Amino acid sequence: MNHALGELGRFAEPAVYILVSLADGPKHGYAIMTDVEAFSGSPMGPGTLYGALARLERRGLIEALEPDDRRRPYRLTALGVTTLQAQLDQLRGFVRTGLTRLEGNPR
Amino acid sequence: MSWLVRLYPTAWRRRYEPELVDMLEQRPMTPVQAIDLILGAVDAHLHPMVAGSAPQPWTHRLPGLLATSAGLIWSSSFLLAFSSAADQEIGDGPGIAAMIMFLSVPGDYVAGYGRRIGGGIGMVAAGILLAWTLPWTLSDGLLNAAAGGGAYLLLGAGMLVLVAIRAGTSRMGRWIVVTGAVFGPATLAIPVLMGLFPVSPPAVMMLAVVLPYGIAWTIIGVRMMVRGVATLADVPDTAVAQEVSAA
Repeated sequence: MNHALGELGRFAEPAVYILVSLADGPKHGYAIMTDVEAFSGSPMGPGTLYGALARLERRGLIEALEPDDRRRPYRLTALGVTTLQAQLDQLRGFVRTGLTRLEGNPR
Repeated sequence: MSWLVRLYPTAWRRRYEPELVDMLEQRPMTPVQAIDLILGAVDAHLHPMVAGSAPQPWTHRLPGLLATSAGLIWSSSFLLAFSSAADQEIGDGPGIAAMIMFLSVPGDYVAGYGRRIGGGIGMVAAGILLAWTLPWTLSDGLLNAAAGGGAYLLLGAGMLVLVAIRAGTSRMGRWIVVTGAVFGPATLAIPVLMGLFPVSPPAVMMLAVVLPYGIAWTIIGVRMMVRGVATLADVPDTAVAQEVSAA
């Protein structure tokens, strides 16, 4: 977990899910929740979702757009894109290391 | 269950409530999600993320802590006393709880709502007067019980209303709390006290009357703790505080 996300504590993992969800374009809260549930396989509670959204917005990783009725879409900022990219690169290295070690272990 | 959103701080609600309520209306909330929302509200109070919702000083949690403690001491005193059939000694617990209840009432409310607090103090004083005078002037047990009950209603309802106002409970909510925790149980107790419906053991009757009161204080105390309540020391711009500092 990189520093910007690591300092979010228990909201770090939900924050990564939200950033990934917003990677293909702006979404409002309900769309983020259903999208995260679809690609992660586990539901994200409304309290966790908005706790993470508020933290990401405060740190400038996402920004709110003009609301459409009551729904307010969010999108990644340039800092959010960079942070997500760094996080995914870190995870890619982590996954590669794990898979290499598994494949090299004769058991 | 979108009313749970009201547990969030005011500044947070101004920013996020419409979209969160919209989201909650899209599909029914599960119990797990409801708990998640409650935890989110506690987190929003402890770690304000929204401009205009500065962290509250720890003193703002004190009145709620006192009210919660009072409710728990009150309830546990009666529960412990009546859990054993042999020794039903109540002890000092309820008295201590009542003192703590008094301590949790004053503060900014005194500063901002002088007339209402005066009315509340009047109710409490009347209750004390009833409790200390009538039982000595009346010999009949039923009338003594009625005097004690009247004092309980005045003292109990008065303090509960005051603390409910401090906790930000709506007018309707205050009526529900006072009726459910004081007037309702007391009304139900009247026919039993008159001997119309003998209840055995009497401890059950006692618990049915006094336990809702302790539970109400505990719930309101938790609400006060979560929301935070300013005390007189924290609001130096109020008229009363200015008078105090001028003196």
